[in-house]
Amino acid sequence: MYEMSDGLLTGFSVALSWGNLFYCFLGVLTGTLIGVLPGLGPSATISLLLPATFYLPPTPAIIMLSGVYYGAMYGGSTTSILVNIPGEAASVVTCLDGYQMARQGRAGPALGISALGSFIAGTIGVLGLMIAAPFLARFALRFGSPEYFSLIFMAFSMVIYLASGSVIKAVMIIVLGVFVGSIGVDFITGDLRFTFGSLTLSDGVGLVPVVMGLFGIGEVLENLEEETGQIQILRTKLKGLLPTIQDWKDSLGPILRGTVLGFSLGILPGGGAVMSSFASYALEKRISKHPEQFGKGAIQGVAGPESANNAGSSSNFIPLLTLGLPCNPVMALLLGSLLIHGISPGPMLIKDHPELFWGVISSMYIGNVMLVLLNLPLIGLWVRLLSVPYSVLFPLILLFCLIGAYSLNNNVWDIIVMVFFGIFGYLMRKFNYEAAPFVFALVLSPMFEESLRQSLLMSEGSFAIFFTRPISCVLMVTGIVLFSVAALPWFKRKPFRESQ
Amino acid sequence: MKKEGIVLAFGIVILSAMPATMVSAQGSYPTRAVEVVSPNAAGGGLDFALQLFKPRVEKVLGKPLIINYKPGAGGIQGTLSAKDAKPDGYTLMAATVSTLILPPLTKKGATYSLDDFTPVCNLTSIPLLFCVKEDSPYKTMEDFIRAAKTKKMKYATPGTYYNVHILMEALSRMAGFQAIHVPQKGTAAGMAAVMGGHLDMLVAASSGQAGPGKLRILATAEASRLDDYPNVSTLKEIGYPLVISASDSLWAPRGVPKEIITVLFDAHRKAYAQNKEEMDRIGKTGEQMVSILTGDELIKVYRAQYDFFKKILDEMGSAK
Amino acid sequence: MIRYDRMSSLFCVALAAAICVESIRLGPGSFSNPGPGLLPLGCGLLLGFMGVVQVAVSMKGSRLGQALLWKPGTRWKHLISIPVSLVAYPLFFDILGFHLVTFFWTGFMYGGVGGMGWRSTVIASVATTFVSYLLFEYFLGLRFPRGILNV
Repeated sequence: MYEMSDGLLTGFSVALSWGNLFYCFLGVLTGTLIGVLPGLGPSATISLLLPATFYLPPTPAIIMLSGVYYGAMYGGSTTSILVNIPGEAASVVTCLDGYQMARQGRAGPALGISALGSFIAGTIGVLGLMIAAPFLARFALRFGSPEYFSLIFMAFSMVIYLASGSVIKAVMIIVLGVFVGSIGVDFITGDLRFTFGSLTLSDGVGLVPVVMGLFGIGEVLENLEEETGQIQILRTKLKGLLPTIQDWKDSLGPILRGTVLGFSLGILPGGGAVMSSFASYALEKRISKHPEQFGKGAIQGVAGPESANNAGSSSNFIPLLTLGLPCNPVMALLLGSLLIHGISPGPMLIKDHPELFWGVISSMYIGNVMLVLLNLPLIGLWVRLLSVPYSVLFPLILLFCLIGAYSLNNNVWDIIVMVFFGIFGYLMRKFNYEAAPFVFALVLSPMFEESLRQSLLMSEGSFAIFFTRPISCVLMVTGIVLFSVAALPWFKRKPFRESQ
Repeated sequence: MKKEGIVLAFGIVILSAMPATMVSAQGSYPTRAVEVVSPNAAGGGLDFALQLFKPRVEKVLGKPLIINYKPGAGGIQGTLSAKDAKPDGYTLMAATVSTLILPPLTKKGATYSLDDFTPVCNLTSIPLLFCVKEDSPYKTMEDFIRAAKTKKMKYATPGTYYNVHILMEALSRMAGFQAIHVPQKGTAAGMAAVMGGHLDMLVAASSGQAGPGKLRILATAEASRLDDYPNVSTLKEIGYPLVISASDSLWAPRGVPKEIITVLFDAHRKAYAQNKEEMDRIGKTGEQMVSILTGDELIKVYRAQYDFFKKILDEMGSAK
Repeated sequence: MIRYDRMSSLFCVALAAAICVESIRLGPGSFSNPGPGLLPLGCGLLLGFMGVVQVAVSMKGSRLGQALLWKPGTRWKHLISIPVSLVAYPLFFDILGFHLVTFFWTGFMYGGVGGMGWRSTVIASVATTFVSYLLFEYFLGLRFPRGILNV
């Protein structure tokens, strides 16, 4: 304990220097804005900024780059709520209820709760990072391929279990998502799968074009198909800019539960962020007394996933700082930045570079405060954006999608993919399929296949490997139970969405 | 939304203005910025080498180097675009064995060969390592090979048909054992799998595996022992003459005038000569060794690796 | 909805069949040495099975009334012209360059689809093009094709 308070003291004295405060601010500001622009995610921004930070000392460099990262997580919800364009996979869930809230004139409270929820989650996440980092990182190592496979299997079952429409459709959509995720080079044998000779497709179907197409473009098409003259996203009047007392009562539980979920799943590599936001949504819907309100503007459906998202962005740092293992592309970029500064992160980082370790963590706390101060005043501005006539707004939405998709790899094929999934998303709405589970499956598909095939290689073809290892067994059995509960009575269950 | 963009942009402009471009140039080339196409994404090992040289070479050249990241299809996309670039010396290409040699051997769509490029300069060399868990019962590479003959070992590499995968295949053929290859997505994932005790060995290019609380190196595929790990034997010492390293290097499209290549090579050699200590120190944290080779030496090394990989791949029956 | 469920399921069954054929060509391998076709084949089989189940369920009769997917007032013009223009945007990207393409494209959106007058269309397109140039190209340093204007 003494060591920690000592460390914190060091940390805050480092983070509170004018220079570091400035870089922290610059980072979170850039992050927020980049999070708002669809397409330009944190990894694109950080790789853009990376060369410039080589001229800074390591601590401010990492402070700024991490600021961009959690700032982007913060800002990512804005376009999801306002115009139904999720910037990345983790904010797909925010679209479901956030955008509906905006349509009911409650964009303010939605943005407010996601900002404040993120703040609470970020703060608790930083605390958790300080207290439990080394222990948690060791625990995460106990997850091998079989454990990941079981975990993802359980996650799929959970999404099917909680699908709001028909179970059959939910299974179909997830299977389709897994399939689309398998397009591209097979990572084990190097074979090209379903690429139709396209080099672009050999890298797989990019997530961001898919998400922007399914949600952003699909929504625009649906809005424009009707002959209603001047379409407004805001069908009703604005109701308040900030969450009410009732909103808070509804959201506090989801925020805390989301934080715990996000923090724990954020330690695992790969799909941690997206799994935790879906898990949080599913959990809230499950324990809610009014599950029918989910998908129709329930504030719990915004508060929980957003908090999970942000708590995860703190715990993402754990494997990097304590073991030197980056768990997502952004962390890999940060690792690159540390290395070029002559610092090799790992178990010795806290001892060798206390000013860096504690300085960065303290700055994350300060950065969270800055983000709230920065975001709350912006809410008014964002909400006013919705009063722009739709005939002016929709070309901008589409143009942002176009440029966002192109800027990913400077490749026009990403735009084509986006348009394809725009039409696909529109048809899915028409035929009553949900888009969110598709994205979920698409994101997890590579890990799903990778862990399955690695496990089978390890066990030389025996599926028993998923049941003989304790962690894997628990996850697998939970998944099977959830799936059976969902699947068995499918002919009795009345899908309540069908009456639309 | 626009106003904020400007603020954000302001920040970026400040930052990107920091690397001042400076010092006058002599001679005619280069008269403007030189673009370096990187077939790998920012932040990786290749980028590390490029960033290590960039500011120091810029000082010598007197013109900025712009790194243009074109990742995709395992390096094929960036390499193809550099192949088609104008051979005027203003577009160069960064390469590794994995972007330049292996794709034409193992992948469809990689319609290029070493002959399409003129070597400029080798930048860094990266040793290939065989690592086990820190508390593993195998203390030496001989221990491991002996055990592998009775028990099927599972080993991780960063991917199928990577140089390290082919190297391990070659070793297992030579030593007469069979091991199960469990490819991972990248070195970090492989490290995690071995640290967690899920797999027995990681074969990968050096990138921070060793150190307290991480992995133990059993052997390298270097010609001689590494300065930093004097106790780690080489494969050659223990009777398997496999000497191979990874390298990050700089190339130009075929047809760039000789004088330009000379200017570029000299700039790199001079940049290193002027900053030797600093560059060696930073290189070490990134687990890379600065190793300036002339174009002729560079292409010899790559040719030799090409022949080696081709031979093993043919034996494995898995060339494309 | 029932009739439309049948339509979408039949589509999925057809897709599943195609996936299966291609997966078998790729080679599913065995469980001890899984090949590239294993996961897609699994997806194809499950998708096909679920599609058939849904068709069967929908055959059991229509409990609910038939709602129309597209109401009579649907503006097909927009539903077709927007995707087409989105696809056209990248096609002309290399030839015309970022600025011209953005100008024409936004012009078409504001005027053609949004129904603005021609004067405000021109002003709005110029403004949008200029702002997106400033934001993305000048400040964010993204690189776009320059096209015939070469600016």
